[in-house]
Amino acid sequence: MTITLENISKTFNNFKALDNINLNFEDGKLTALLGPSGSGKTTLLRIVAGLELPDQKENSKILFNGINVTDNAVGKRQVGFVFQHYALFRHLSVFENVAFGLKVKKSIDRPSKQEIHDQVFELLRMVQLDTMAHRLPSQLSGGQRQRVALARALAIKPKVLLLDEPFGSLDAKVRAELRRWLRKLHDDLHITSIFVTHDQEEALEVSDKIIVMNQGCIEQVGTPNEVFHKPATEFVMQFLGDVNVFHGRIDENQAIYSGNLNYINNISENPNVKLLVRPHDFDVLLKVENEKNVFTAKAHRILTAGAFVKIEFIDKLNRLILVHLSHDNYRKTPVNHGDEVFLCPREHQLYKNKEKKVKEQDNRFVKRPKKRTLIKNFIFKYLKKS
Amino acid sequence: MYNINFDVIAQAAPQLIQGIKTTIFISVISSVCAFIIGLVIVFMRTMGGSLLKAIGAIYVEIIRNTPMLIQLYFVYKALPDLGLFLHPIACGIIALSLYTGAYISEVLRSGVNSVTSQQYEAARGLGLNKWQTFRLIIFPQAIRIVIPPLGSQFINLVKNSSLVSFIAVTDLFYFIYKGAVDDFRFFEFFIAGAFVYMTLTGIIAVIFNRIEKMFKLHGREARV
Repeated sequence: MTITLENISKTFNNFKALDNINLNFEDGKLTALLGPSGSGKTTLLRIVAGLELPDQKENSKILFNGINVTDNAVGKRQVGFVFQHYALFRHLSVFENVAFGLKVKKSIDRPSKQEIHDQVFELLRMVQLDTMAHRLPSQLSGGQRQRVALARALAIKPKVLLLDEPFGSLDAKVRAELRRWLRKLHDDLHITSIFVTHDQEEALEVSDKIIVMNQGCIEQVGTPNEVFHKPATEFVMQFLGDVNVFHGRIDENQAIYSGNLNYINNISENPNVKLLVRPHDFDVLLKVENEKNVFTAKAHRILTAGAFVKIEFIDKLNRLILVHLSHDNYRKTPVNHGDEVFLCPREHQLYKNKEKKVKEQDNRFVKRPKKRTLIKNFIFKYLKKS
Repeated sequence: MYNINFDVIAQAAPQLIQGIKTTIFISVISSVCAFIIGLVIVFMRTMGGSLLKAIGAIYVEIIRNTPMLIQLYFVYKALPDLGLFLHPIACGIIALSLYTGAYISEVLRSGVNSVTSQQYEAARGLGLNKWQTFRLIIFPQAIRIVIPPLGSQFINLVKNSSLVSFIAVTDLFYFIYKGAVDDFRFFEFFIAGAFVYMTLTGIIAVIFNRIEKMFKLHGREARV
């Protein structure tokens, strides 16, 4: 099922959580809503589910397969919702939890007892919990609980599966395992799914498409590959992994100067720029022929334990530069503590420096007169009349 | 020197037993009514619209903030002025139920409030209406939390039932007081009365301990 959002805004009291969102979720795809906390991603998910109503505007619409469902309640939208903290019914066993959505159906739609039993056990087998059907949620581990929550959401045969930080409260290892498992499940079932996460690694690994959100707005929509390698905005670049930031400016020769780094580029509108380089996009060179596109830095800390070698350099302007090297490359250019070497950015992203830091501060608070002032004005008006 | 002589109690036993029967009768019926009232009020206050919420709140505040004796006399003496004549026992049951119902609704409300909002949302997501959500999800979880304080309310009800003797209901307290005054045997009769009330409330305490164990989730047999 395709989901289309048109002009969706949401204001809580005087806080604008979502600012005119237009989105399209493709049929059968697993889409991630990625963003820092407070970016409005959960609010957006809850609006899709119908747990939250968007601001009343004439042109704001939620379409499921082209049908307007803006005014439909949660129950009518046929969505499965998985909560961050599971929200399992604590007084019911695993079996009863999963069967619940089927048992409370109106008698016309309700499957027979045997059918419910079979369907529930099929789901429990799928989430690998069929041996624990009789347990209570309190007798399960976090990962198992989350799988029950997923089975419960799937039991009502939803057309859309919505997951709110499904692995947020699990430890790293279980998380990675469930992540792969979720991807496999999605490949088997092909239910249109949306999941909210603040973990960029999770989003990159699991989803078909990523929507990066920040301060109630959409920053970028794209495949994991696109958002990682072609970040549309500086925020996306910064949010998806470590970055080294160089403030600089462009001169007439279209060279970028940033401290002792000068770098040729072909942008020349705004002289003030930021050069963003990912740690793994550096070449470490022991000697160079000409000193273009390189700068010198001193190795400050070297961590060789791990999948790659992490080196912290400090350049002449006392900036900390993170570099990730493969073990192979590290063997070719062995750097020791205190060595001065040349660093050459292979890949980079250029962003214009903003004139003022408008977006840095949260300007989503809408100013409204206080209730007290309104009442005061009202009373004064009447006093004047009499 | 005052001679303590419990034989007088034995002589008054038939009357006292009749009084105990009345007290039990009033207590049991009032308990059921009070619990139903409590349930209705808590449903109104947690799931209802703003009007129902307001009605529930006003009811609870009026009952909680007035003496039970006034409520009792109101039902017994003031309702006839409006043309409603009721048997004293019925008056006693009504007053006791209204009074305890308000307290029970508050106890239940504290339990309902302790169930997280996500449980409501999960239920809504599965397509349950308000009544189903309350009956199948919220109430079963809330009641487990509030069983101990609920027991205290029923114990209070039994003790408060002694007030109905003021409106000429021949309950246990009525006969205790009558026996004491008739024979000038206050000490014996009041000791005996206290003992009987303690036995009755003790039974409730035991029942509620059982219920608490019964409702405990751990080690419950599976229903698959």
